[in-house]
Amino acid sequence: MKPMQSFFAALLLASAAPLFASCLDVAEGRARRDLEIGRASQGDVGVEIAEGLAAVRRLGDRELHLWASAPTLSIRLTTGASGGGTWNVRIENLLPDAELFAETKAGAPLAVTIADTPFPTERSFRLDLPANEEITLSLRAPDRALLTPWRFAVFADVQEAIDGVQDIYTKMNETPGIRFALISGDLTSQGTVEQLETFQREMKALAFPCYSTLGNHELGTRDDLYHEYFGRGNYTFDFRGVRFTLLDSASATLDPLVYTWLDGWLEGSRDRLHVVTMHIVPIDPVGSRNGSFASRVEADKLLAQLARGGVDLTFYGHIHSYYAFENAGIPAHITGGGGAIPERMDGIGRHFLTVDVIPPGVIEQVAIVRVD
Amino acid sequence: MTGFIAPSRRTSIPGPALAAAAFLLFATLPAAADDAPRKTDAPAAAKTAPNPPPTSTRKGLAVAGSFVPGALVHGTGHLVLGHTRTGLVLLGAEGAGLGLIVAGLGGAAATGATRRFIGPIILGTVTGAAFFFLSALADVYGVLAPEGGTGSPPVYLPSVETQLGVTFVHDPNFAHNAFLTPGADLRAGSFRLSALGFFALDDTNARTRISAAYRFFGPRPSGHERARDGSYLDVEFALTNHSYATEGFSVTTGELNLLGRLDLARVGPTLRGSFAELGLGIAYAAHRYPGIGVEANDLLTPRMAFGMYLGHSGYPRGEAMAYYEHRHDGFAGGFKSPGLGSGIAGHFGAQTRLFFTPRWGAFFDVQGGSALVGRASLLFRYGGNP
Repeated sequence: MKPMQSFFAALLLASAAPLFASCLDVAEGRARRDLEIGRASQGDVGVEIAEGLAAVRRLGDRELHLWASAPTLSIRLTTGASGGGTWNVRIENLLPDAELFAETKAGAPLAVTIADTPFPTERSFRLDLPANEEITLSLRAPDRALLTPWRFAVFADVQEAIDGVQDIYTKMNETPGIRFALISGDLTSQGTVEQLETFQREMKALAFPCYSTLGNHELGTRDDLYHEYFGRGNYTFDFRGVRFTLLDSASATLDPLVYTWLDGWLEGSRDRLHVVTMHIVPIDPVGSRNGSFASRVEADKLLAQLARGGVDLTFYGHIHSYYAFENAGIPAHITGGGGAIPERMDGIGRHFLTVDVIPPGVIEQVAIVRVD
Repeated sequence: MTGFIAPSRRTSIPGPALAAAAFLLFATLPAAADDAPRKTDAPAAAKTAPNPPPTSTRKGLAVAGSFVPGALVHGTGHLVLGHTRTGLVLLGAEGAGLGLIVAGLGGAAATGATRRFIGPIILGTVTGAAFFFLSALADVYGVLAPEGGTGSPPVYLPSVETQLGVTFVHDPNFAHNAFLTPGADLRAGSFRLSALGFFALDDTNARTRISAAYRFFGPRPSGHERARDGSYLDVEFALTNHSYATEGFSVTTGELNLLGRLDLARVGPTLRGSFAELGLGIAYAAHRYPGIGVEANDLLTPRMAFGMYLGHSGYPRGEAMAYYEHRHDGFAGGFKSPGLGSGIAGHFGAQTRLFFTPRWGAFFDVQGGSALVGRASLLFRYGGNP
């Protein structure tokens, strides 16, 4: 090949440079980060939260600070030689009526006192713990196993409207019976430290906790900053006859690791309702817009897996409106009414959803609550 | 078999306009003016005289200028080279592209990507991106291309072309990797029937696509009017069925596409041997989940490409192109990237088609999106030129 032809071949290849920039494993780092959530150690003192259902904000001198991602937590605290004495355990994002129980490895109960309740969803507990012991702390809500009708809320896409989010929270607090809320991502506009701090601060006005997963806007600054504040992006928990699974679709895909976790989470939910939420919808009901997964066939793969797993209800964000539809036969709701630039001409505006469930098998109603 | 037909030294205003506005803009500009000295009061005869060969210094400056500031001011290379008209056309294309992009993105932001207008907004934005990127690539090509360009287009197409190849797919979310890929194109007059299959060798995945197209103008099989160059405009209807038996679903897609190619020699003589493509289309897909039902959804299928013909006479001859397809279905899907913009763009690709003899050739294609896809096929054809 002549030099000029070689050059043009190179030019053509250069013009296809984005091809080589394809990042197939774009969510892998976050999935692996999930595995580290809920673990920390300092010297011979260590803590591990079952299933990574809380972010360890601080493990210091007889001090433990957690952000809960679920109503019920099981915490294993190893005190070591240096960890005996009076501990202060601060837990944020908990149910207002949640109680903390402690026991030694041998099953001996330990006294727990409430030291401070600065907000309905934040409490500090005081415990006297022996050294060189493995302590199990259990955060439980009294109604965690009840199979009576109850209600939760869902919202997403606050983004730059964080300063006005109190309108939504006020309305939520006024709405009777909400036990907790799910946030389907885009808590912030760029995922900066300042924005994450602001979101957390504003959330203190709520009378109940919010369990969240991240949206694409949480990736605007750093891939895993969200995890330091709010914990895992992919996780599952059970409450009152319903399994909740939150997935990290912020990169318009799920990491292959998550599909393997999902298999187990689906298998364990055959006997109860299963609600799945994530930020980016697998297939946008307005297909030409494609505010959805990067790959349609991956979307189909996920939906087929959810359908085979008996999922009863799916919630999404990302699209700043409200849509009710079915994906792979599963009822689906897009609720992106947290305040971000709204889809025009849809007559929706800011809103959140309430979901009434009758365990163990009935979704009674999904209702839209308008804020504007 | 028709022998090689040398491209004319003078280009002229094209007759039929391509449907896409991009092509219209390029095609309606007389390339002859490009050869004219920049003095506006020069006699007409002087306007048709070719530019004298540029000095090596000027050529070097033009090449450098096509990158910096050419990346921002498209056409700079041609302006430095003295091909003012071509440079201005490319600059104008960039401006039009930027205008469409700004209007598209602005429209999406202003309407919150409303379902009512998002289709035209996306088609406009992709068309704008085509204007923008293809004008930049054309500028670089034009200042680097040898006299007469890198190659010449076929003016007749084969009436029969078959292919047999292998496709490799690396998608971290799917088990399949290797596919056997047979295909065939049959052409009669302005009509084309095509079939292409992908049959997994290591999975139960199978994809088949059949399409029918009508060519409004452009190269056709020999026996018909000889095409002026490689430019064409096709309308295509295609049906694709893709079965993912392992994952438990299948998708059947019907699509309608308007596909055009413009030989850029029509824009200016320095661009001889290069071409731009633009396609606009819409598809409807039926997603089947066994035991559950069928759900329908639509998708847009615009594409753009910049390419060049390879070789003027003898063999090997063919063409190569880099392209972007906005669609998010198929093996490649859409583009995934770190940060908050993942999932918006479609996939990118590059392909080469080379014939080593009048009958036998090879086809190579790579795509990058949600998966990396590579295809290599052996081609056999009957008829056509070159």
